[in-house]
Amino acid sequence: MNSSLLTSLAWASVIALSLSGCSAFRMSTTDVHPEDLEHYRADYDASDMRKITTAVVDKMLVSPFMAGQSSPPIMTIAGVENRTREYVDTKNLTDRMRTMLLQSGRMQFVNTARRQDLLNEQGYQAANANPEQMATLGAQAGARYMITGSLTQMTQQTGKQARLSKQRLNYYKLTMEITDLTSSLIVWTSEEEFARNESIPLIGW
Amino acid sequence: MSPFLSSAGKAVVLPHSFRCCLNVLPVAVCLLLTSCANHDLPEARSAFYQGNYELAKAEIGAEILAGKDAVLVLMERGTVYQAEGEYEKSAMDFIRANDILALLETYSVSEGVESWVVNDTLYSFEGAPFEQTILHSMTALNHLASNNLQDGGVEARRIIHSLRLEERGEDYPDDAFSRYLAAFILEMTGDLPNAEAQYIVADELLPDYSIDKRGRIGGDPEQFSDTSVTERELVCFFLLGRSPSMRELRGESSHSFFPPRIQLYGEGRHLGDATVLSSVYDLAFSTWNLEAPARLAKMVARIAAKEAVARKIEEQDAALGALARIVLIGMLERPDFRRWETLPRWLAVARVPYPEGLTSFEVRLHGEGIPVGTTYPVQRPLVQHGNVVFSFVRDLPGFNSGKRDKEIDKLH
Repeated sequence: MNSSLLTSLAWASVIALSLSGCSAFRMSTTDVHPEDLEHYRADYDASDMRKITTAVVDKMLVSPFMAGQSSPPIMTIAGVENRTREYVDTKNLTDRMRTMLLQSGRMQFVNTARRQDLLNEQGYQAANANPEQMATLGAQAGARYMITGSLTQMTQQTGKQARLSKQRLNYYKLTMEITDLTSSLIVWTSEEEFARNESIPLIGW
Repeated sequence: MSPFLSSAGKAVVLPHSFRCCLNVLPVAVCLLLTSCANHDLPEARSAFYQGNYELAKAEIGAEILAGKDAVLVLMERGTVYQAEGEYEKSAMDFIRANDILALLETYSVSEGVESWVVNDTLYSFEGAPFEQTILHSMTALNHLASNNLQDGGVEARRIIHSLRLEERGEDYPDDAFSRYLAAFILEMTGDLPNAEAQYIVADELLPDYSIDKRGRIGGDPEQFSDTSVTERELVCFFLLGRSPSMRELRGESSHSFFPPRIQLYGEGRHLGDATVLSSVYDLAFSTWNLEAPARLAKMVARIAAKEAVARKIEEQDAALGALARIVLIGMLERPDFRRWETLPRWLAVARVPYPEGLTSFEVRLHGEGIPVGTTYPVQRPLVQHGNVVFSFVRDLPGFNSGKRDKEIDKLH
């Protein structure tokens, strides 16, 4: 290989590296389908939320509790208790479950979150609306069942010792329950769990 | 003369001026590295201790929230917000500081090299293990004051996690106050078994006091024979005094080892006393002593390396060598005294009966350096969960009695 060829190759490498370097420093965005979300850390994330809510709803819809219902039962969601070490938006979790259950046509939900707004609107209508079109007072549906749950977390990690990376394992468990508001009996319950390990480099640039 | 080999294999002699430039290059690099490490934290802290919270926040500013002291700055600003009663803003700063700390888990080689070459202040501030635990405690107090028990629970679990031996390090001190706070939050959320476990650990850390499984504090364990708690209780957390100065930690100035006496009164009736569970001085002093040998060894090695560079330059040019020594050792070499300085000195808890109908209470402080008759009326935060009323008090010393009264209005 002669020296001019070597020089050309060297220049080509420098130019290629420069160009690739330039793109790496440019800000860019890419659309990602929610089904294709990746995990960056072992912590609970959006794809976990999607996965566990889908799994719980699927189990709920094929449960003996649902099979025994002659008509769509009226439900209320009291919320999922966050018992993890992370700030998890559990409202987001129950909102997605409610949407999926409602869209299945197999359950009905009372709007507990907007109860005060509903009362305000009814009060306004009672004072101002056409009596024929006015919402009937005292005729709101009462929920027969309450959905509750809790999200828990357990963490294991390697101790402080000479090594290049730290291993951390996060285990999460979502427990959901349906309670009969008349009898206070738990009529259905299910668990959904997952665990993820992450390797954190202890030395970086 | 320094001969270099050219591509043709011939020795190339560099000119004297170029060699001088090469020799002072390390000095220039060091100066460049230190150029962005300055901030106005001392002024902000001073304003905070004078009760001027607006000035304290203005001194901190927004531009230094992204630097190597970002965690420290957020800790200090969060403390200012908390003293102001801006609990949600304070929690946001503390949570952000914790998020940055999570990113600092990986040792940065570039910062490590800088700290070896110049000084330790060029490494991102992470805080001592006890400061990281108190960061969660402070956040938890903010959540409780905002009546946000669920997020308080997140911080309670973080406190317990941060106090695990593998997290805080085997020889680092435990913190009874944070343990008690975590237990109290777990108790409020109904997680009684885990609350009891934390009360037991807190009890084991206190040789002079007893804490029972229900969180009641006293000098004599026999007084807890009654296992049922049915009356209304006030649980008040106290953040008192000023965190020790570096001079105090190094034993260069005297300080009081005796905690203040904290009495609680409701409508003139003595409700009970608070108990000091942790001393920030003790936590900082233990940590300082534990880390001192490694810190000293690193500093000695760094000074030796800088001296070697100065001598090398001196061989070429005596005046330039002396200048390099002044810059590298005299100007750039400084110990890393960065600490969360707006922390309180004493961390105390009172768990006392709280009669129905009381909407405020009074705190009377007695102790060294506290003006006689120092009294704090407390009206907020007062948050009720079942039979338990939660509150916390931040006392800032250093005001004279007259000024203190004015500052109380700002605090509450």
